[in-house]
Amino acid sequence: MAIMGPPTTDAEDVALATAGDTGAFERLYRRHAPRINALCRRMVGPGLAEDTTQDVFIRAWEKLELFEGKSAFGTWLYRLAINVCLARRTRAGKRRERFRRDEIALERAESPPRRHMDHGMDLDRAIERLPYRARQVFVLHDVEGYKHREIGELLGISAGTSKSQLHEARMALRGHLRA
Amino acid sequence: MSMHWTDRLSDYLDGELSPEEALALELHLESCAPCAAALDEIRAVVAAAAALPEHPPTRDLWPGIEARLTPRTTEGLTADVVSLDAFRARGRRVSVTVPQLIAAGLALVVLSAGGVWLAVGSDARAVAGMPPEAAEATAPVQSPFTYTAAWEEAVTELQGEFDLRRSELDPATIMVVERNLALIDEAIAEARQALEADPSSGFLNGYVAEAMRRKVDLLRQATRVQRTET
Amino acid sequence: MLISLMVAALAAAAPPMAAQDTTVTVERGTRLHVDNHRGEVLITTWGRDAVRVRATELGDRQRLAVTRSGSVLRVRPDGSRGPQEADLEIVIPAWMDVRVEGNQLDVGIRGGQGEISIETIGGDVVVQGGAGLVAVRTIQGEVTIRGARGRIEAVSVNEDVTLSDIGGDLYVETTNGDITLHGIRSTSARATTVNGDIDYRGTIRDNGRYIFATHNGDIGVTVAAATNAMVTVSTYHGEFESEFPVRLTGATRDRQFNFTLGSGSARLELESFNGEIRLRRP
Repeated sequence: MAIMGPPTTDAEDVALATAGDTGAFERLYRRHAPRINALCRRMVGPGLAEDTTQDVFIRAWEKLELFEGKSAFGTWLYRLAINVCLARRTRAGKRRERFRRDEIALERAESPPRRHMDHGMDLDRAIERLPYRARQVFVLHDVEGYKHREIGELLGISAGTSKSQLHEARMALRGHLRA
Repeated sequence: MSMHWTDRLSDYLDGELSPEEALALELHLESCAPCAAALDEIRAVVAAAAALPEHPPTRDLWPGIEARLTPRTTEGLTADVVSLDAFRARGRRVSVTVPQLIAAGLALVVLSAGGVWLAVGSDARAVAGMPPEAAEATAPVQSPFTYTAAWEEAVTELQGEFDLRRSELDPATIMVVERNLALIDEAIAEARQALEADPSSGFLNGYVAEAMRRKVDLLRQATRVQRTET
Repeated sequence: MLISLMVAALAAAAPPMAAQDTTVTVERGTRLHVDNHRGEVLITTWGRDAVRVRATELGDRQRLAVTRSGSVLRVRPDGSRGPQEADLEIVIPAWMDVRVEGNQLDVGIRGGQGEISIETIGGDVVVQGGAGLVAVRTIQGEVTIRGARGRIEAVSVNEDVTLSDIGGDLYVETTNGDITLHGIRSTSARATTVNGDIDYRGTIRDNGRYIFATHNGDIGVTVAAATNAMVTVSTYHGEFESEFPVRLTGATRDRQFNFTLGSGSARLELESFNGEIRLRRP
């Protein structure tokens, strides 16, 4: 498990891992796990995040030979992680005791936190309580920097729906940053 | 604070408004303190979101990942192939020498479970393994199957068969089959739980039966694969 | 009785790995059966009543066997030991019915106008064309079918199934994968998954029957504004959204409710235990 030898780049490790080198794949895992796990946490919730992160890397191993190197490996992995998260999403949604109306969840998300701790922590908790769709759009747009058009393609919604969901999410999250 | 303007604050912030719309909104903001405040708050949310920290896993996930990596020699199980040209462009993958011969012909039926299958009725696809008759395809989604003990028996029997012969299957295939059986089991468990609270629900009864049907079908497909591999 | 038409044109002295290429004439009505354990099978069509088989790769000690038995032309790599492994490129008359069986096998068929049946464990399947019956069953493979007519049956277990430009009845199933059905002109469609989304864009014909069900996943159905259908929505933890006006008919019971679009002639059943169900206009 110790990683010895000179540092390698993603591109080198991808080539080695594609040829079957699990040591190279472990290096890729160690470099990218924090960011992927953060994404999974926000997309599917903390309860399922690590399980999903594992799935992402297993899926990446299976699909590695299809990585053409047109983008950075991190970008490719990220996109794959989003797809894995989306496939798990309703299981996460269920844990939020979602019912027929999103408003129930919106109300809960809007109630300000009792105590102010770290903003990042508060915001992450508030994101968890957003309605499912608003949460996906918010994470992809404001945390990850995807465009509405791309989000629309990923989620199978129109760019207009993506925009209105984003606005709803932002409005709901305002209370958590109030001093 | 006007709803008309409030709804446009995000678009404004993201530069999605036309110059005319943006100008009109800016004029409105000058005279509407609540909208101006909301805009500031949204801006703060956006800034905070962009600065959110990474979250390393709380434990080392690598051992769990490593254990589930399929060796490269059985690669090629999944690929985003959309055209024949893309097929050709992907290069070689004939390499494995595991002595598994696919037997000729497909008249290999899980006879014992097939009896139960047919007794349970409603699905005529037991023999060739191909999907169901038109009659089933036009039946309501939750009504063609009724949950009975026969389903449990069929599952037990097929599961036993699958377990007995698992050494004949490729490990990657076993993993996939088991993962999918687990998924179906989760679905059945959820529906059962709901059924306890609402035992007379026709919807839930049909739902459990449909999930059992799927499980039997998957097990049957897997055991048939095992037989053809021997 | 099997009559060998062409078995390994290689003499003992010839290099063992040479590609093989053979063409045999076939009578109308002949069916093609391809058995190949591992590798790929690519089938295209031409205007001749003949079948050309080319092995671009062959496994160790394998040779290409093309045999005829009654009205069946059988193609397979053959060897005394080891699994059948080959990459095969086959050209057939468009009218020919085709059956392909294999284990880890990629299968691509383009331009066929006969019946198509494919059964594998892993490997992807892409079918363009096909008429009458197009049936694909796999465990670990992704299934893509485009431009088929007739009755389409597409079953995977662990991967996505994608159908587009389809005219005819559909039966689509996977367990851990999404189902995408775009450009569908069908009077009967049933698509079910356990862990995945279903997206349907196509016609809802008068008197037609459409069933879409998932356990963990969303269902999106996009249909014309002038649709006539009785819609049944079933959900346990899920949600329902409609771009059509919804007036419930009958009491909501059992986590199910019904409503009518237009004359209500077709039946549309939408079911997701945990996910969202959305009914949209184009």
